[in-house]
Amino acid sequence: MKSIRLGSGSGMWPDRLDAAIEIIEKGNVGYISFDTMAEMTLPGMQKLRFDDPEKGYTDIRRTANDIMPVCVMNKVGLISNCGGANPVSAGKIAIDVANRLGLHGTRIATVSGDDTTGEKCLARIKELKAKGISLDHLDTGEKLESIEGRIIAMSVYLGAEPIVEALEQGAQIVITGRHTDSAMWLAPACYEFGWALTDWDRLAAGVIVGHLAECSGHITGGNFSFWQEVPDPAHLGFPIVEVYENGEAIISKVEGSGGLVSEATCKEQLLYELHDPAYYVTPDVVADVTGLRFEQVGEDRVKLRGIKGKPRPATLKACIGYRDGYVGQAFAFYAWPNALAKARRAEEILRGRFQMMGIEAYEIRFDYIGVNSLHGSLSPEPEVELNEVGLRVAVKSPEESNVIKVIRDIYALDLSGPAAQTGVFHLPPREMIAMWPMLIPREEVQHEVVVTEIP
Amino acid sequence: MRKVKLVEISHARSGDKGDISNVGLIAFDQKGYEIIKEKVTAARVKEHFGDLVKGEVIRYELPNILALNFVMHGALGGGGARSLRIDSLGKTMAGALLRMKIELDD
Repeated sequence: MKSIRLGSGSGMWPDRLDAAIEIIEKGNVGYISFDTMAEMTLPGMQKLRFDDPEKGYTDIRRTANDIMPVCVMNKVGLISNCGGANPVSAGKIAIDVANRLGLHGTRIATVSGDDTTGEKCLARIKELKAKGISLDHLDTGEKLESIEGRIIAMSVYLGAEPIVEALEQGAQIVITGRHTDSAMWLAPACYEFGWALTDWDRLAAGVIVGHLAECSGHITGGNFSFWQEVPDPAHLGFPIVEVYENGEAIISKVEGSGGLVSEATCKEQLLYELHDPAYYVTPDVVADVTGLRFEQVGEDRVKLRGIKGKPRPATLKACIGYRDGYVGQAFAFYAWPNALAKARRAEEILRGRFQMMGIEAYEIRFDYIGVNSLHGSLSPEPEVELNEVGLRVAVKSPEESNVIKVIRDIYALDLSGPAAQTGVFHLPPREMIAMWPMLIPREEVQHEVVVTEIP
Repeated sequence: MRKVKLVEISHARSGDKGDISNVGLIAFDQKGYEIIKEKVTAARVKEHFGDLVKGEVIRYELPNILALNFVMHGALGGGGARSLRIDSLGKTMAGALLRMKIELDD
């Protein structure tokens, strides 16, 4: 039976370069895909493009300079979503680097879709509204009017189709923008096996393969509950998925690399960011993992089968980036004796001062690092006297000036606050760009694939 | 009757989508799955998380991998792009669920 080996080179930005290079050089893969965008990376990229129409990509420089030539040398196809909110700009950079490096004959594809910024974005929204398309918030049902005047950009999540098109046109390097991550593994499988775009069970298998591979080390021992058992985590191998024509797959990694692949690591990654297991919605197919089975078939080799698919949805997910105030945070530290009591007193003092100063804020949040900053109210009161406590103050306000006032006051506690406050630092105030997810009919969305051959 | 924390009888991984946190809870064996299926209900999970989870909690069952999946709305202080929490993606929500105590009948 035909099979294809697909590597995972990145699950976030930044991720480890050496693990990706290891797969390209030693993994015997046909393709390696790079996911450089977490859900919340997109609004940041949209803001970059809003401020500078040439920007808005993620990792293109490292991709073009450090990864592309290795892929070309080893004849491994490269697919990356480092185009971010500006795949056209990213593609230009890749082509420029390929020319400089003399990668003659290499075909580079840029995949762009429905990405609009500024005035063009507002025009696009007006156009959709005029067609009677509801742009309500996907999770809360809120109306788009609630963020009117604050919108900066919109991107639609594309699926595997445009990437398959690029591969069909002979592209060895594919630079995309905002796709569903799993599409970057489904597409090469689709292309190699000639799966029809209505072969739901096989498409579902490809999507789940992508879902398992898209977070790099997450399935090879990274972020694993039994992390103490993971061998050689400094040299963790990223995943390789061997996909078979019938939709079955084996998850593994480069032999001799660190990490481990087990039924447990696979189960944890399967459940990551999953909601209804019978209804995992993507632009390409709705996957059903209720019959999925994992089976350890060798050392660091787990077989995957039993995935079913339902027809793809009539809608695609779109994200609008919008301005959501300014945020800042500052940190201060207290040591024994009475570290926690001092931090609590500092909070009390600051709250009183912020009220006195009339600080207008959406939210002011106090955390005690080492005590409750992660589990919040689920954190039990410490039973022993702590060596040290970090006080963290985070503020979100419509006005940047309020954020600055709050940060200043924490510094001032060095001289006016509880005993021996030290180590104060802050993160500079920044504008928060939030995400508004919504659904739009798929026939509304166009995409474009442009393939350039390096002479 | 004895009380155990979920961390003693299962492992977990949490993920995020907007302001929704999901925690997959995985038993070690079939017997363990039967126990968590019976004892770890959506209502009890919502009660456990208190003010950390402001919206509804939905539970899905995956007997094929001995797991339950809890999808919790309004759980991340507005979500990755908007939240003031250090753990805006809820990476530590899995550990937070594993603190929960249940009563075992043996």
